[in-house]
Amino acid sequence: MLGATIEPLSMKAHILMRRSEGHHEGRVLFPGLKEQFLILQESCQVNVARHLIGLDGVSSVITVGEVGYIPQNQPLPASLPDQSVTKNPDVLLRLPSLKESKWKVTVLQQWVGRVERIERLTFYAVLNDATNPQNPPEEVELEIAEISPSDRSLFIPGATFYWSIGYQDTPGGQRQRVSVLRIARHPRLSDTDVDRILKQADSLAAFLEIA
Amino acid sequence: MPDTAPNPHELEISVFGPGFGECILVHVGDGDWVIVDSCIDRKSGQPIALDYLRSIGVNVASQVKLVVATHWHDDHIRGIAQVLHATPGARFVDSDAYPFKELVEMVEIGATSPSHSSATKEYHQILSILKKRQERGQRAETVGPVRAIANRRLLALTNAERALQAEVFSLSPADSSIALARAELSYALDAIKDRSRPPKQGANEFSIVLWLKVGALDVMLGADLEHVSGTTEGWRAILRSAERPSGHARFFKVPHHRSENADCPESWTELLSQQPIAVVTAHSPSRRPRPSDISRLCARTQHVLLTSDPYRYALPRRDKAVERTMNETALSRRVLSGQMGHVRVRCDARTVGENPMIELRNGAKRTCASQ
Amino acid sequence: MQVPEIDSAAIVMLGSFNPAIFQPRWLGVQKLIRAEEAENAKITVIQSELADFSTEWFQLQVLQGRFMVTCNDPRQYAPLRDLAGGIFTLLPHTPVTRVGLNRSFHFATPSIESWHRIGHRLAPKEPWNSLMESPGLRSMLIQGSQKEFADGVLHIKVEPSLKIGQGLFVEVNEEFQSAAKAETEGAYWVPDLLTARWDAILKFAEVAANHLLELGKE
Repeated sequence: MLGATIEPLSMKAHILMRRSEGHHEGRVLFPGLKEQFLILQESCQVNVARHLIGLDGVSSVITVGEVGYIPQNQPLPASLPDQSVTKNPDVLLRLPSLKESKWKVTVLQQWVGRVERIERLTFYAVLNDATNPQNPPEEVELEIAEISPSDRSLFIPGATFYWSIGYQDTPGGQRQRVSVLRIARHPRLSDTDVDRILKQADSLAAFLEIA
Repeated sequence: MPDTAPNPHELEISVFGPGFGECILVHVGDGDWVIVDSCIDRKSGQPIALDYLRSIGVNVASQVKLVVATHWHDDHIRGIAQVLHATPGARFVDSDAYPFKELVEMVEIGATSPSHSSATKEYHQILSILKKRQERGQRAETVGPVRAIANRRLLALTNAERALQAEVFSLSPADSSIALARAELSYALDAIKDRSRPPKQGANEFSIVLWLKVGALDVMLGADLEHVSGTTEGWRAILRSAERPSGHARFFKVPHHRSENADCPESWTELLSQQPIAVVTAHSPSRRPRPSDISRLCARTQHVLLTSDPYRYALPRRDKAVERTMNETALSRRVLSGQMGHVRVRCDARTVGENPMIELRNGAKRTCASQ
Repeated sequence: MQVPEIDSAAIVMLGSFNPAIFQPRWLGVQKLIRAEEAENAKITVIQSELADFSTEWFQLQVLQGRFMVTCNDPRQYAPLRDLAGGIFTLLPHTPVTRVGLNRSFHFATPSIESWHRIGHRLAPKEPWNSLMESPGLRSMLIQGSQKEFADGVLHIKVEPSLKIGQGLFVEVNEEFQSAAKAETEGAYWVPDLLTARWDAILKFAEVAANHLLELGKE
């Protein structure tokens, strides 16, 4: 099942360890990672401490192949040297599948809207009811101020938008009635893509057209 | 009492219109049907053509002979691909004003955008259906769309054994509109590639007006053809054509929701019989037909039937919090469609004198004061 | 549908990807997300084997063999579809072999009896009583397909929720495989699939969840 589950991630990494009295410490260095993982070793297993950036709440078991050791009196390097100090870098690291939202959202109504015409301060749109599609379309007049400034460049007649109305409960338990409007975003085709599609279209037209 | 199909010798014209969208079904005799345009019944979520025909016991797979898209406006073709998919025995007809190759290019590029018009998406699906028919071995000559242009015969059911002989002709678009259509397509293609300008929807002058000869009766379905000032486009082009089928239509689907720009006075005398039955579909976005449109129509015939009243659609009920927010946010609101109004006319097509049986369902009504 | 405590959706793909290109800045330049969303994205890692970052409303994680974009705000499920479709419209040559469309919920149940009733109705205890003490449903996965869309494989998973006490976890997944024999078809089929099936699977997930919650009633 191709679900959004946590999968073990196999990554090449380098592990530098230093044996100190009573414990080991070291780092797992992933090429390209901005931050490093601080490891505290306990017997044969290595636990990733909660210093992992962006992985709050995750502690993973890392199984290592071989571990390279550096002398006690040398500091652990902050970055990865070009030559590996381990022989078989093989680290399994679990990444979380989804960061949970702090808010509980209850959607009461959703529409897909299409901008029909734009006046000076307002615009007219046709709304199709996405929550109950059997409801008829409605024409509404809304203020342009309802459109996010960062969506304005996409705001033209014919643009599609999504409008949701519902409740949002904060972690502190405060309920808010919220209206969220977002202009739909679709990519602009490259010239190569256009050429490819036109060629396919021409083949299709020739296939179907009666001579 | 269950609804039944018309008799083999009966003409039936069923016009559906909820206020945004229209669909016309014509029984041309012997169980054969023509479907013109399409709209969705919101209750079932299905094209009304399929819902209705199945409800009266029609085998849509074999009994539908033509599916016509009169022009590429969203309100005329929603669900038409689904209709074509369900009617493998039907040929698909669209306007020859648009060169086919360029039309396919526009559709295929437009289909890459999920937010593109439903007309583009429908045509994209239609092309897939036609391609699959050909891949399944259907003869190439019977698969591709039939391109309608002025005075082309689209369908001939003239077998001597039939209860009714029937022919279907297109009266438009005019030859002269092809250059305009090419320019429009080119504009649309640029807009779609650009994704910065919205494509303009297909112009009404390229729409297909149909003339059906069913037994002794003639029917004219006006689509959205406009009345323009020149003589080579619009209704004037039809009137001036020497090759158009002869006759005067007893039944008339009024073009463009009865707006002034579709009113051609000469068409009433040249193309229509005395006191024809005229059916108007409402178009709520433009608030058509207006009372002035109805008055103009009633001056020409007393038999004016309207599928639904564009001024009387009720707001659906929603959660109070939703209503409150909408009222706070929206400066104005109106519903664009109501019930699927249905005007059904049935008539013995073996003679011209027979009085037709008219049924008005789901909010359809007569409009002239004297009726 | 009863309002879930947690509602999330995900679009997952298998294929061959280059994680290094999946950067917030790239999505912003392509206008697939807002410029501010791109600037304020929280990046975990972007490198040749793994890309992982999140914005206010979605998280994107790409491995060399897997692409996943997730969201737990139902208001943004349509933009999520647009985002995934937009990415692979711009990267049509990316070999994508499988697509999974997912929605999952964690529901609170009204009582412990209701919670037990659901488990018992899905997996009656009697066949297990001779084998063990206190058998209980830990996880159930059912596979099938929908009549109208036989090309997809449908999975529904039901488990006690690990996040809500006496809660029910329901996950609905529909999977599609590329029809192409070789990987050369790339990702051309993906945007159309998302347009055709995303809304339907979101709605179906609500229907499935309702159906399962009903099992908790007396």
